[in-house]
Amino acid sequence: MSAIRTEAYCQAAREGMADPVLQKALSGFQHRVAPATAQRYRRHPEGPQVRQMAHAIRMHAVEHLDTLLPRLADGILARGGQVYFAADAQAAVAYGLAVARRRGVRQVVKGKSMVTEEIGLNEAFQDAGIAVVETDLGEYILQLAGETPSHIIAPAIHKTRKEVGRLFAEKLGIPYSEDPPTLTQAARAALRTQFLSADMGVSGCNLACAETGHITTVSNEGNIRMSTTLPKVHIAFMGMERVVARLADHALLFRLLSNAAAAQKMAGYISYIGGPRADFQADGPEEFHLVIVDNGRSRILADPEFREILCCIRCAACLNVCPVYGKIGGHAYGYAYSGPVGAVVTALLVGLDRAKHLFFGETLCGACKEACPVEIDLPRLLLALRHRWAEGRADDLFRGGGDRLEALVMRLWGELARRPNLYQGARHLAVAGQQMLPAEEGRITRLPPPLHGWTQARDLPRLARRRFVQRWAAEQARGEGGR
Amino acid sequence: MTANREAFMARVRTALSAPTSHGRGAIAYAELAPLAVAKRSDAPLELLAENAAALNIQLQLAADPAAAAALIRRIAVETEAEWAQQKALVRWDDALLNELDLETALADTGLPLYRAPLAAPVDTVARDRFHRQLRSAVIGITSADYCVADTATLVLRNRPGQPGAVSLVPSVHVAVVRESQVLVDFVSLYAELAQERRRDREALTGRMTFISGPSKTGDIELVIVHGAHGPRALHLIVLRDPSA
Repeated sequence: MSAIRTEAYCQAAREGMADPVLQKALSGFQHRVAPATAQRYRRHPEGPQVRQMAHAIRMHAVEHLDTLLPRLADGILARGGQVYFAADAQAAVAYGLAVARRRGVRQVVKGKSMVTEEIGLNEAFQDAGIAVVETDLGEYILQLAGETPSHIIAPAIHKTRKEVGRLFAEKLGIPYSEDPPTLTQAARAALRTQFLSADMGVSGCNLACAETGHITTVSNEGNIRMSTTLPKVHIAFMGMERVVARLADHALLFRLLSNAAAAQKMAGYISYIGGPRADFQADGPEEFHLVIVDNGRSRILADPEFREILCCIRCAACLNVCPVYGKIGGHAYGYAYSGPVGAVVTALLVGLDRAKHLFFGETLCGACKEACPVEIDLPRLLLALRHRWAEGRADDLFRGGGDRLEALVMRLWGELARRPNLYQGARHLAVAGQQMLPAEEGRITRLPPPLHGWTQARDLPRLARRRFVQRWAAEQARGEGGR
Repeated sequence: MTANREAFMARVRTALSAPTSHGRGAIAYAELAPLAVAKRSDAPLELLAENAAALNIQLQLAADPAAAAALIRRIAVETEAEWAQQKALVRWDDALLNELDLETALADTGLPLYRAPLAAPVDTVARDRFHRQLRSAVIGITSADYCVADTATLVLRNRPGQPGAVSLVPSVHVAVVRESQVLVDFVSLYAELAQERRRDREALTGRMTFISGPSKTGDIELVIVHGAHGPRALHLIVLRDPSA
């Protein structure tokens, strides 16, 4: 997944919109999950301010990473765990590979983790001859099919039960079935063998707790518990922002995370893991490693305008309400993160210019902000990205190239607006000229190149024959005459 | 390793040196504590029953340890084997479960009942034996430290004789809690945990697990299926307080 395909956004979005199976799946999913999540939000005893409280917890954590991360690391070290601070994806992957080689690992079972998608862990392990099995059912389906996730929480929503049935018949050698319980049972049996024989388990981290020195993992299937309990080595990867200060902070955040991710009151399993097994323990891994990943996050942290995005807890609630995501699907975003949060995070990780379509593609309708369990102001961040890109230079990851034509038009406009006579002249020309453009019901349907992009999916109202100031004066005169 | 941590943290400190007003919410972190509202309930068991039903948890009340043991015996007889021909049970070795005397209750069924190793440290022989038993078991029996009524959540911690895998690897999980261990909601749970940590900083232990319902997935067309990887069923037995 570490491959970046953000430049292909427009083409991929068109493909998504033309895929009837995807359209049905997305609309069904959004209609089911989004209203149920909104209803859950309304039922907290803290009242409507509950998401603002969560925002305060996350922003506090992000702004205190300088004290929280050492505290977390020291807690884990004290229990005999190992902590590695990885500056970038290469360092994180190299550390994981070094541990695997030292322990002679041949087979890895993995729980769903966005940051490992981001750093391209699976590919690196497979290149090194180590088999990696994704154990989340959705991820497992995609791995068998050779595809990538299209949703953070429900990675295989774009697959129908028939497709899964054919896939399992081919890859697992079971009789064809399109019955979800039968298919799930087949995966359960196949993966149980993997859990019991794997040498290493890999997980992400939902929200670590600095005060107590634990990471946490959240799942409904139990696959992450299996992956972190049965193999002899467990490596957890976490983006450096995925931590909170105090244990009590979890009381609120786990409720909201469960609401936001799957419209649940509480997720099925939450595990606190603070080290390898103690010597009194009959289960658990001999070695526990935590890899804390920067990979561009400190750059986001350093930017006052974008720091807020580090509050994100990767619940995917913004995907479930987004009208753009709901039409184009997750693959169009071209990276591990999709939807409104993907439009912001991906741009900040891979560079504005490479990912400009993502933040220009969102509508700024504001649904994402209302759905966010930690009330991140996503529309503000999308606008800030557009502004930064338009104003910026191409020499810095956080700046864009700007659009030369747009810049030229704006400069011309500036010149015209300062010269009333010239402006009026240009207006008269435009009013006359627009008669030559194709129009329907008084609206221009196609602009000439290079402006034709604007009318590709919408019509442009014609310039009025009379200016507003003229009409206003006329209206006033008529009004007074009538009195 | 240390140099690498230093360089990493130096970058974080530098990044944080720029203050920002963007992203400031309406509430400050320091103001949060008084805003946390714990739910109240006059009938936590009713609240638990309602939420357990919603999560497909089989909840049963037992008047005394013998009644609880009888319930478990029945579950053992009725549950079908999954991974091994021989139906076996594995249980925690802890005070509450010892009180049930399951060995006697199950004696006439002929079903093997294994106990998780209690003696610390657990040596390789004991660990390997436990793992074999764990894989073959169809039912895992545990107690729990707390049960949260509002979310039907069980809280388990790893202690000697209490490996978390007993609640995970067998096909069916049976948990036994005392009525006095039932808390109303998550806010109360975290208040209890904080209280415990004030007495013992390592009260959480290296592994703490919250369990709300049997294993489930909705990854194929959002159809909910129980038993994705963990237990396909969860039986919760609440031992009534003697005064009740």
